[in-house]
Amino acid sequence: MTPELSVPAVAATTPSNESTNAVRAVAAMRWRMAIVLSLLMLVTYFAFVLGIAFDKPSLGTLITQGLSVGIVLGAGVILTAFGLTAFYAWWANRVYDPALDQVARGGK
Amino acid sequence: MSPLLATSLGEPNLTSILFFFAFVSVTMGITWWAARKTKTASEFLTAGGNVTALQNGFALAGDYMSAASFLGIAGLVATSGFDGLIYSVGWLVGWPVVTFLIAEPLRNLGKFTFADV
Repeated sequence: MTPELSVPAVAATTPSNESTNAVRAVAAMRWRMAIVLSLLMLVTYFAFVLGIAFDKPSLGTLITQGLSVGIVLGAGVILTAFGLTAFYAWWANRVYDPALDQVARGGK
Repeated sequence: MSPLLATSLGEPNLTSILFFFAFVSVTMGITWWAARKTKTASEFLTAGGNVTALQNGFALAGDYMSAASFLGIAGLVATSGFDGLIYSVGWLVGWPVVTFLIAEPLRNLGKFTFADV
């Protein structure tokens, strides 16, 4: 049996519409960045996979002895993964965490 | 096809076996020592937040630069060519995607483990 809270107590502990909207806005900002970066990563990767699937001969052309275009492109996809992660970390430190702090402190 | 090379693969080798048991013993010893220091759920799941990002990065790198990578992927690329390359690039591509979509939202929730996520 849960004891009933009085109306003032409920009102005091319920977050206001304004603060809820502020939290939601920050969360939405993060989701947008996450989805954009994920799509960039996946597009790069699947372009690589489709290249392997449909055009192996040109991926096989040698740049120097023992090094083919396909290996370089594969390394490029890996470096893209590094870069996107690094960008996200920089963005989270520079933009997201401060915004989160500001909302937590009760600002807009 | 190249001729079969003489190999000692599959035959018992005392040095290898001793190395194996030594390695397992050291690992178990470290686990036992660490387990004695683990008290709370937070410590169990995320080392109480005491593991720095760099340390955790090294640990994860050690997890994945293992036999699976050096032997498995090397063999895969050697036998299947570019098709094998897809696998070696693919798991690494999945990592940032998981970070962006799953790990980051969980970052603020409290109880989770890095490697699990």
